[in-house]
Amino acid sequence: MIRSALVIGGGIAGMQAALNLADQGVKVTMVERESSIGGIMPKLDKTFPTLDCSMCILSPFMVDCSRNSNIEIMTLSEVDSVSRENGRFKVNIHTKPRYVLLDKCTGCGTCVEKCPKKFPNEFDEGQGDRKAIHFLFPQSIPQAPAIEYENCTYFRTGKCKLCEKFCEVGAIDFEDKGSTVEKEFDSIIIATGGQIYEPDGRKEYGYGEYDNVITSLQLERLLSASGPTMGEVTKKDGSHPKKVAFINCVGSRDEKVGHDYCSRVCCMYGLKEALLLKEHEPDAEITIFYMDIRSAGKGYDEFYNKIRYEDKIAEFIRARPAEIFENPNKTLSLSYEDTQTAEIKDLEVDMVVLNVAIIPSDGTKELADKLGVGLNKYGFFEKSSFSLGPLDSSSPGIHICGMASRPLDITDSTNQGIGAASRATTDLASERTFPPSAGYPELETDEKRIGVFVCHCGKNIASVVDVKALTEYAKKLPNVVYSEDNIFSCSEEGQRKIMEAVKREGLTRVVVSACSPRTHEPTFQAAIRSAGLNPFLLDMANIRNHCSWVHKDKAEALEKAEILTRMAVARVANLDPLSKTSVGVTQVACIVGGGVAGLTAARDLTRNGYKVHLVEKKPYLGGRLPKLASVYPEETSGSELIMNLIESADETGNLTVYPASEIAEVEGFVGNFEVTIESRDYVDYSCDDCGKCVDVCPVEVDDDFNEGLTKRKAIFKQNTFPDKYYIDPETCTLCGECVKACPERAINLETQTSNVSCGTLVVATGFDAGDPEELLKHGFGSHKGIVTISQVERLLHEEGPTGGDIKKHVGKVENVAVLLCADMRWGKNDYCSRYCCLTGTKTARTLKERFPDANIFVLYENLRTIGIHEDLYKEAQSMGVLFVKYSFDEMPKVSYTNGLKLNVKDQLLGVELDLPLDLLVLAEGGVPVEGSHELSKKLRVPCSGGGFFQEAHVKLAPVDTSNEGIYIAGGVQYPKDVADSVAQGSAAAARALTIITKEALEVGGIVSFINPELCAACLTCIRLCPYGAIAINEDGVAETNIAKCRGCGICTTECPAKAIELRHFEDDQIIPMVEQYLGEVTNGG
Amino acid sequence: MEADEATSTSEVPEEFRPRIVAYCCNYCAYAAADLAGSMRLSYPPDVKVIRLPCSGKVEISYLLKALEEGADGVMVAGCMEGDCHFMEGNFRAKRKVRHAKRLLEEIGFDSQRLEMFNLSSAMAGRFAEIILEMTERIKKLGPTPLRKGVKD
Amino acid sequence: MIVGDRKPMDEILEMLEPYENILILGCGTCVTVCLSGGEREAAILAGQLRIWGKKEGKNLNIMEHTIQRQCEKEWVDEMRGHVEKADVVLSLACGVGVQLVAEMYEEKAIYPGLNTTFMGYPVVHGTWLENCRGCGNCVLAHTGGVCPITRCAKSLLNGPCGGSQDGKCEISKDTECAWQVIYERLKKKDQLDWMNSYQPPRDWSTAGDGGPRKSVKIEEVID
Repeated sequence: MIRSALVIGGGIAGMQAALNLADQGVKVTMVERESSIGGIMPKLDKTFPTLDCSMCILSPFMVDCSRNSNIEIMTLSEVDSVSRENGRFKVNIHTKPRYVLLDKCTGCGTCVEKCPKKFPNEFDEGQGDRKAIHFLFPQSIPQAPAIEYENCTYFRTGKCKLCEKFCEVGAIDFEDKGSTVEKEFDSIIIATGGQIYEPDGRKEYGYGEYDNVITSLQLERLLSASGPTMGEVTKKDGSHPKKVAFINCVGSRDEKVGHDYCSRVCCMYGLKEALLLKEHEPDAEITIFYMDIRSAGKGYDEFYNKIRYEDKIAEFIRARPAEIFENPNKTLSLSYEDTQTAEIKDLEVDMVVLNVAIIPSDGTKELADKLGVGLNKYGFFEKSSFSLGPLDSSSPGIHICGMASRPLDITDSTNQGIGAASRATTDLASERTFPPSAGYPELETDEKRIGVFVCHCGKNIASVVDVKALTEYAKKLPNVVYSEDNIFSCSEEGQRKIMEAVKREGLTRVVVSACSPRTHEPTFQAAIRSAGLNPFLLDMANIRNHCSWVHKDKAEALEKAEILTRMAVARVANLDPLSKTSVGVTQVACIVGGGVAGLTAARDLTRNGYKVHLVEKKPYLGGRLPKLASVYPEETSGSELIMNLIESADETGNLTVYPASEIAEVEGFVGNFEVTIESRDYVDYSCDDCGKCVDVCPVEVDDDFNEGLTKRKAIFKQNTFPDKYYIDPETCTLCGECVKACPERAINLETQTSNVSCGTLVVATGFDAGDPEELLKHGFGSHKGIVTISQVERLLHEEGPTGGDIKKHVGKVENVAVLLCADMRWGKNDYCSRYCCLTGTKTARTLKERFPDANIFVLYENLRTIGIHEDLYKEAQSMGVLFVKYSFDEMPKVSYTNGLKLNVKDQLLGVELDLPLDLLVLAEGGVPVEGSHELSKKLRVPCSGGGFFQEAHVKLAPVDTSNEGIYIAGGVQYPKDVADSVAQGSAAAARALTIITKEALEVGGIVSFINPELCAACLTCIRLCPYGAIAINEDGVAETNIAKCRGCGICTTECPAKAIELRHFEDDQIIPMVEQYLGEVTNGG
Repeated sequence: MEADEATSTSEVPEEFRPRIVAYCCNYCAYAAADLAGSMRLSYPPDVKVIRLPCSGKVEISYLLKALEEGADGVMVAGCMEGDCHFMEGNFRAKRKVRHAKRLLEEIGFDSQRLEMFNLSSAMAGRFAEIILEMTERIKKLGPTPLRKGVKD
Repeated sequence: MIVGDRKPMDEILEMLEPYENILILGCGTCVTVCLSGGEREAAILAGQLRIWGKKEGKNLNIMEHTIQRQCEKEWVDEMRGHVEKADVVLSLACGVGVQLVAEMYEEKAIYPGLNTTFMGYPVVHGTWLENCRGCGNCVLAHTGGVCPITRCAKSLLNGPCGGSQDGKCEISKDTECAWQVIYERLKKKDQLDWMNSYQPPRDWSTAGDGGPRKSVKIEEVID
């Protein structure tokens, strides 16, 4: 029986889930309600914080979905009914009529052109027009239009059928009645996403009534080069806005409209849109009305600071405008109370952008009923557990990802989508199916027949570069026998045209003059491969990123585009067909780090049936979690949660744990890594818990499990896994007293070295809480009453040093302050740790619960209880916790010489508060763990600026690294809460499964080749290869191990005999580009 | 044709438009150039980028070849020191550029026409700046002495 | 291996001054491995000369070719076609190669592009150390595998001399005292006794001072 899964929803989360399932050999059916997959991302202009073009980064994923033989895409389709039989799901899927036959339609667009009627374009959020027959958006997958029944003239009047008349392939079918099919699945993934809140509930903002009050998604469409205004931001009357106000939290944090959670993405997209607006309209004056700026994520706070403080893109006002009035001249007056000055003010602008909330998508309730899963109080899909089951529904076999369960940004939706893939496969049984290798066709002829395809990229290229002229120019270049231009070369239609031309014109080499090979080379390689050409017989001229987007002068841009195309033609003429070969995979995983992320990955991998080696630096598992008195919102102790997780992974018998161990060395490459593990797990399992060792141990150190509140011996035990005594190798002096004292002879003070082979590695080494240097600035360590949140967790923990009674530590708890951003955002660590507003608020609430009469203050700069954690904030507030906004310019001052006191300037009341305190809780942020850099060097995975591991792409590849086969999860990538760490743990497991579910991987291609005839065996290459990929072979000459070679080409530039070439970048493929560029100087004038 | 576009106030009747070859590593410099595009930063069109997997793939003969073919300037751009995707390719590139500069000086050729830059994939602004910097530098130096028929 | 360094450019340019058709001739063995005269170095030098030629307004034709070994007649003969097209050959071989090429193409201008320096091995990538002078009477059996003839500035057989300080030779702080090295090596082998014995003056007649030496393998020579 073939494994199969149903993915409901074709947005980014659903696509990531489908692709990662398919890549594990699972058959996937993707059901999408709209006429194209893509979800919300195609509507966005750019993505924060890197400002990548949303469509550009998404497009390859969409095309991959359509090209993957394990994925079946069903558009215009919805789940009709679901039943469960013999552990499988029987699902009826209803497909609405498209009135266009997908197997006949070529996507030419003639029908759209001929359709006589125009209607407001829903995709553009009602701005601009579209025809009754239309493509959802230009890059739609599938690349075919659909007829909108309600608006079609024929359906309304019985006359017209112009589309049918003009369709040359007979693809229009007015008799299409749609269909219902029954399919069986082993697992279901809900990825139905969310939708934006239509702010009609906020009448006072005049949305839909006033001309120039628009939603953020409408602005996004206006900003988009492929939007209704081709990237011009205009008011209703067509003029450009000069004064624009953004209002945050429209429909979010707003009990009035019933969405009192935070939508988590609006602060960031608002900042992004403000920045983009400023780029479009440099003279525009922008005002942002906000409550808190919740830029909590990797690179997000930096993005905010740059916009607000460095580039001063906008004026920021902390207020929620009460009302908007439209003036007769269509300008808008906002009245608001500036909460920082308590003044009532008015502002006149000519455009207002409402940064609207994310709400459950239409039909969520109906689908939940069909699936038999619950909804949470906000109407999103309910998870089995917020923290530890963020991807699971309460119903076995049904998983949830992306915004179906709560508002998330693209990065987190991606994490969840990938993660859902590994959750789903744990449900499945039986075999996996992999498509056969696509093959690397040989070149059948020496004749050089080059085709050049020039892309308009909509208007992105064509508006600057004269595409037609370039296409004509290309025809005259040496060996070029064909050239054409395409609106979107990367669209399904564009690719099809390339494939057709290759066959029709007998092309043997292809140049695509379009965008960057970094994003689109694989797309076009796959396309020409489908047409029977070797994929390496392709080159791209980057006439968009390197030309049309950066040069304004049309003549100059055309000239440069011509030169770039000429260079690519010169290179492609000399490219060689390359092929890859397959190497066996060690179907085992190694996980570094036994915290919640690593354990989640271990659980998912072991439950998929794969052996896992889990290496943990500490002598016990669990990371930071077992120390916590309670995890929000489960209100369960961390140790309980972690023990469940460990048990779940351990009971498979597939898990080998290496406590007190570190990675000494990693050799090898994706599919086959050799890992050397050094273990100092000195106590074996014959330990019978007698504790005699502890009595004799002469080493006494701060107990890090109790956050330094107590002392412990170098040999000790904690209530976590493994259940035995262990020695902390960091502090043990190897004196041997314990060895002598142990009646069971369970102790051996020798370092053990293990060598394990694995196909993939997951790095989940977490983060460290608190930067001691920064905490010191608040007097940490100088007064008993100054503690960190981690310490409070221990002081509140029943098994902690005070048995859960914090009073035993500080005497009385009557006046408490929790200082947020204690070590983050204002000093040495200039980033936001994302989770500390949550933990800080949780601590305040818990203390208020325990000590209802105590005065409890939370001091914040911007309160970032993101997403549904807003509940916690409201709860704390309603219980009487007082929130005080401070400013980094006037940091709260702590004094402790004469009793503990704190002085803070309340930014909202404008008064200084002198608070006598019993307890000052410092909400510490996350910093990279010690030794991160060393580990990153061993793994050859780069760290980003702050020392956290660098993901391959911040949005769409957040658990991949630049070292293929090595994945990251949890705090090692960036500080995050338990739920997000767990989601990433599953995501890393899914990525790992795409390697180790396969028996073999393809290697080779762009690797170095050493000509044995020329090799002098001088060893230069062997000495200089950064990957140890070259060795002297049996014939006494150097030879590249193609599985190890990463294709940097360093060897080729050092070989004194010039015996080495890097495939695809050979001298005769590079030098002709130089010659072609410089050779035609006299022709230029 | 080039002269048509000359709007500069300088007395030189025909504006000198330098031709500069940039060997860029795929992971940082090329990516930064891509990002500069995404961010619509504007810079002079006089540099043409040749993409290499790593700046360590730059051969001294590539540098010499470009100059020999009449390039007015040649630049190599790699990752920030310490951040090379291939670990130390950019250090090898640095040595190569340094050596190539010596080789040029030996034959009395102004080695300022050759330069190495380091930047990360996120440094789109820096990329545009580097292009401007190099273009300005080469404009000051004037056309390569190797190009025939170019007279002051 | 035989180690060489490229000659200063001024010297090269002076040699090549009168010529237009220039062949840069690399050698694929020792000088390739010591990174001074192989195919890559030939290409770089050729590139340099082309730029120089264009800059100086000369119409130069720079050719480059590398053969397996310039010290074997067959290889040198094989490249006749290349040599004939050139007015001058700049050989990047060691002195041996240059001489053989000169001998086989007597009518051509054959110049050395390298200064042949010594026989040695690379201590680290890019740095070579001299350690054999070909004196014809090897003493390495006694000296722990360290050649005092080459590595001692005075070629002493009864070292070290008074100039040995902190393990370094008095000629330079960067030069190890060969006798210190010998001492350490012999100590490890437990053969220090040898250092106490007096070494009589050796027979220098095998060294090169008596004119060019010849090595005949009689079993290989056909009468």
